[in-house]
Amino acid sequence: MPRRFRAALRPAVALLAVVLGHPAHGQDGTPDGTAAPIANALTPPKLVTFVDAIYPAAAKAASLQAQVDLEMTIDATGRVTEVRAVKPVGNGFDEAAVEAAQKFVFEPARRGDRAIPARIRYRYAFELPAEPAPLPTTGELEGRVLARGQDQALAGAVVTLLSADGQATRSAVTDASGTFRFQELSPARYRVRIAAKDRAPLAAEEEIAAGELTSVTYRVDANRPSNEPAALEFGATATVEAPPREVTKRSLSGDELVRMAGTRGDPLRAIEYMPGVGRSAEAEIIIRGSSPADSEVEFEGAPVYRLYHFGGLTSFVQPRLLDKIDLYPGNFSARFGRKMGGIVDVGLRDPRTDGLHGLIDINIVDSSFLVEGPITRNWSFAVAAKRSYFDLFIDKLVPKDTAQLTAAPVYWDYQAMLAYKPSTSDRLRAMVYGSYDDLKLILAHPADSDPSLRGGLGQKTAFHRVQLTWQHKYNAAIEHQIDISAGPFVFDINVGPDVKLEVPGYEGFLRSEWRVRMSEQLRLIGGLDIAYNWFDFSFNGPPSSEVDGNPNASGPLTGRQAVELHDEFGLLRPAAYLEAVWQPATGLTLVPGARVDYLSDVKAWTFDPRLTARYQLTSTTTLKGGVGLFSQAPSGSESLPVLGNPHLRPARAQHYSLGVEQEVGARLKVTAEGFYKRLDHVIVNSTVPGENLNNDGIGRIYGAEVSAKLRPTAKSSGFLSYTLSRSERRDHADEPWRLFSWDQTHILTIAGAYRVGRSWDLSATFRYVTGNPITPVVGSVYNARTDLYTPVYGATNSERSTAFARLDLRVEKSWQVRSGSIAAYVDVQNALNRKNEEGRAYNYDYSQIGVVSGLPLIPSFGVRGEL
Amino acid sequence: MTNTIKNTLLLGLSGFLFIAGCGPTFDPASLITNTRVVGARIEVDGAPDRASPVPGETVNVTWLVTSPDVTPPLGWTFAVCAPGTGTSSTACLAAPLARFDGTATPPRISILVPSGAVLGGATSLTLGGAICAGVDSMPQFDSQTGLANCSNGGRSTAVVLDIPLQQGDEANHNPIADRAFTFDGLAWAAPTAADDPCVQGPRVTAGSNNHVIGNTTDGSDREPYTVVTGDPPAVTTTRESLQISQFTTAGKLNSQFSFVEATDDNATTTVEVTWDAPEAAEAAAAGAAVTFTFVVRDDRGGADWTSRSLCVTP
Repeated sequence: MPRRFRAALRPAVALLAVVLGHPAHGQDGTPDGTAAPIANALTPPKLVTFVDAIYPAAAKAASLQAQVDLEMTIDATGRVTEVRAVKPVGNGFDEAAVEAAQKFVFEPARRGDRAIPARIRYRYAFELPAEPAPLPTTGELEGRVLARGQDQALAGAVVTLLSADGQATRSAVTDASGTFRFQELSPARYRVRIAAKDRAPLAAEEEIAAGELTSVTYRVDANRPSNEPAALEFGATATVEAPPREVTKRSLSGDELVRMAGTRGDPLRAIEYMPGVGRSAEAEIIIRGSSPADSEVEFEGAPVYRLYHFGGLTSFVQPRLLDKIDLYPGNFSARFGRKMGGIVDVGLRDPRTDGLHGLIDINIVDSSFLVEGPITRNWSFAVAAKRSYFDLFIDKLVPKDTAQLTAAPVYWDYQAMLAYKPSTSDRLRAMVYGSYDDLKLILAHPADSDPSLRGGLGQKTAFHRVQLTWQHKYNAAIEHQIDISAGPFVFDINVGPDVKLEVPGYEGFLRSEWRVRMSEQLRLIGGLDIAYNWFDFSFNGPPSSEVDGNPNASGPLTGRQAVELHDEFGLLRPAAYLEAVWQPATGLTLVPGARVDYLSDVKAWTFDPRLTARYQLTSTTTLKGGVGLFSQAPSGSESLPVLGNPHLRPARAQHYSLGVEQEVGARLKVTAEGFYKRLDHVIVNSTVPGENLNNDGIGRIYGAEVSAKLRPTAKSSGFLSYTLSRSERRDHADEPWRLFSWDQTHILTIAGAYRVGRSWDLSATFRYVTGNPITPVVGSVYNARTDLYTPVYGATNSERSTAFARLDLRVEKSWQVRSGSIAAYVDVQNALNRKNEEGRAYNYDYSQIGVVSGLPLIPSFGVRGEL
Repeated sequence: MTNTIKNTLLLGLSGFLFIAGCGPTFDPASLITNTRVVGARIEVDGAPDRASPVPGETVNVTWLVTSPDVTPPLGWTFAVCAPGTGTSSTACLAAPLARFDGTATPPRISILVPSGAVLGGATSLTLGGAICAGVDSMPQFDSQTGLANCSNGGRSTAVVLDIPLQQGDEANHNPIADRAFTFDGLAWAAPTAADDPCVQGPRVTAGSNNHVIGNTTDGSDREPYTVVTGDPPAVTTTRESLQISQFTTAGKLNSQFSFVEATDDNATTTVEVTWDAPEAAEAAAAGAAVTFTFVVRDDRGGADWTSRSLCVTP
């Protein structure tokens, strides 16, 4: 049905956001900061579900148009709890606008990463298509000035607006409510100076864009000896984002996860707590019953081989720089490809511009720091780094007759960023980042279980990248973003004298994406996604072998056939994708998309059509579903001659999902989703003599996920996630179905955080996961050639290890120190000291069996200072 | 990345953690607590130093079985399997090239290597079977699993040996295990059958630790040979390494294995292993004899063994 009116959004609407969040108060009148917020800046609510109003029939007949200024109260869950027309305009417009606005759904306003209630003004424009509203050429700045600590309005404060060259252009005096307003401002970046009696001066910068109203709240300190400007509490442009287009996208809230027990303050460690994500002792990411190799972590738009440092202790990203952690467990967008499992998309935010900030975190495992702030009016920077110091003491913990640690284990990482915003239409960012892990040890004597494990044993993984990002808005409807990253990497493995892998190389990634709004109902997103890897490959050892369903893969190296390969080669994997976000009817969003990939290593083209849909049944209920095809290239070594099979084809998966999102009350959001995945052309170990691998495998994965998330408040947060699933594989046509090696029937996570008083944070996380399938050993054969017993296995994955259960606790206490804060924390992993089964061990002839348990109770202490 | 490698590395690291205290504790593999098979030696009939037969030759295979005390009577069954048939599988046992049953100690069989036409280009033969310990105890194979139990109810030891066939004129010779041994720096001679170590051998005090056993190997035991490897395939010359397995009937060796690597250019190389004597409770007043067995293997199927003994006194 053609719509004869439209609600002017984005630049055409004046949006006034007045954040009502009440910060906790410290003794000195500064924000208490007991949660050690990631950032002090406040983010206004973002509209995620827009509802068209019914154009009043009489007004339409009379060709009347109107703009209704609404005042909307949005709670901390993002729901609209109250709407009123500020200045009624009559003719039925007020009622229609109010009715529609009551159905809006927002992402809640946030201070740092903590959701807070907010009140905003929203102008709902009723326009007839024949007379579209002219695009505005000016913007507005409106806000309030409050006394920090009490949040009392400061009347009589002088707010001065200065142009880029420092010339005062306008000034205003706050009224009794502390409010000020500048209208008809030319689009530009302005400096704001605030002077109030008995208050320290405050300086800030604001970007004014045409057609936008920048709404700010300034909290001004009482006079203090220094001239240090107070931190800007809030300054942001409220914009309306596009509605969600993913069937399932699980976004992690930074502050909520920094406080989560068991993560050691690293939100990325909480990925495995999300619905659909399995548990791996090696911190590999298992999404909806898929192999870890079937899923990908994208960092700033480019894949990274490894998200976590050695042992999964921590990620290589400074947590306080994180902007988003999005998990797509299935039916993901066409902009992602080459994988058939799931996607973890990690992004960094821009550096802060409201003054210089710093953070130091020292704990028993590693230390890290972050420094960020503005350079000039348009430039800002951030530098972060982390280094472990196991290497300083671990050799004292290792028995001397066992091993000598030569460089073990050490990791470090870094991120440095320059952000440049020359105009409201452009955003540029230059980054360098990298990660380094190294473990080397020299065994004092050969391992009894496998004499090939002798001498040196080690692994080194490192990558360094330079990345450039340019985002440009041509106009209100067209946006282009290009990301280019490139750099060297190295991956070395050394297992005694029998296995040596050295893979230095270079990699480069280019993503160029256009986003075009064709109409209010249709957006198009298209782009190029190009990956290139160059390897200087050197290998000596046994050929490739798939691990899943193959217990022999982890058996001794001794006696295995060895191959040798030295080669230099490049992998070019270009792709193009196109996706439409179409809203054919109120509440319904359809996202058809397709992606074409070329895989130079196996000389194959793939075409993956996908479709997802969301339908907002009521203001609190959304139905969603998706279907799509996903293709995956062989890994680097799988398609190599000698080592793998260059004639492999891409593996494929069909994803189907159907679910519902339900708001329950003001704080609870419940999501339930069923899924089914069909896999074919899965790469498996070949039974054909002379062939290492082939595509004979197929798979099926099905299950359901339920999550219940309590929207975080200043006091508490929590969530429950539960996954019931079954993942099966059939390696060859003449073999029976078997369980996938990481099949976990039940995955339950319950996490909660609670703030006691003003400065104590307590949190707990409990996890229960069904034990992984195990292939039992039913006998053994003595191999006189190697002097080792070779196990004889029963039915593949026909038994399970015992279930995993773990309780993690975290306590954090923080103190305000002048304008900064100091926090001390204890993160206790496995607080119940449960001996979880992580594997099985056997004596030399497999006649005795024992359980290998996971890590015992491990307390982690740390201190963090923040400015 | 190769999944196998990654997994193996994780296994190695896991093993490292086990050592650090996260895994179960078993008796070390180097401690002989029951009757065990610890090696097999291939000798071409008429040229016992050669371990690489050619088609038409007869090869003698001797199995080394050791025990904490006197080795009990044995019963055994072996089958020479057609190339690619498998090892202890029912298929091999159902249609072997040859089958051997016996009770001799040590087990010793003679195999006539089939002609090239029968072998079909195979580069090795597979010898599989099972050994049982005890009087009148013979292996009885399960037709479904191919695994064997002993007729006396005991647990059999399933065994397999790959017998490489000689390619061209590149023969492989068995290494020599008994070059020179030392115990705590003193020469340590091989016992004779009648020797009582508590009369003639070295004597150590129960509970004493870190006794050093030195085993000198000769560079001639590590023969050069050629392999075809790489892409495109290329012939390269390499050299054998020596894997030395060491066992004891009491006390604790710090490792079951020692190695002389292929890259070792020395004319002679001495490997050392340390041994902790058993506690006093295990030593009788008159002393307790402890036997050490050393089995040396090259990379290509050659093997040899020797033994030493000493006396532990309270």
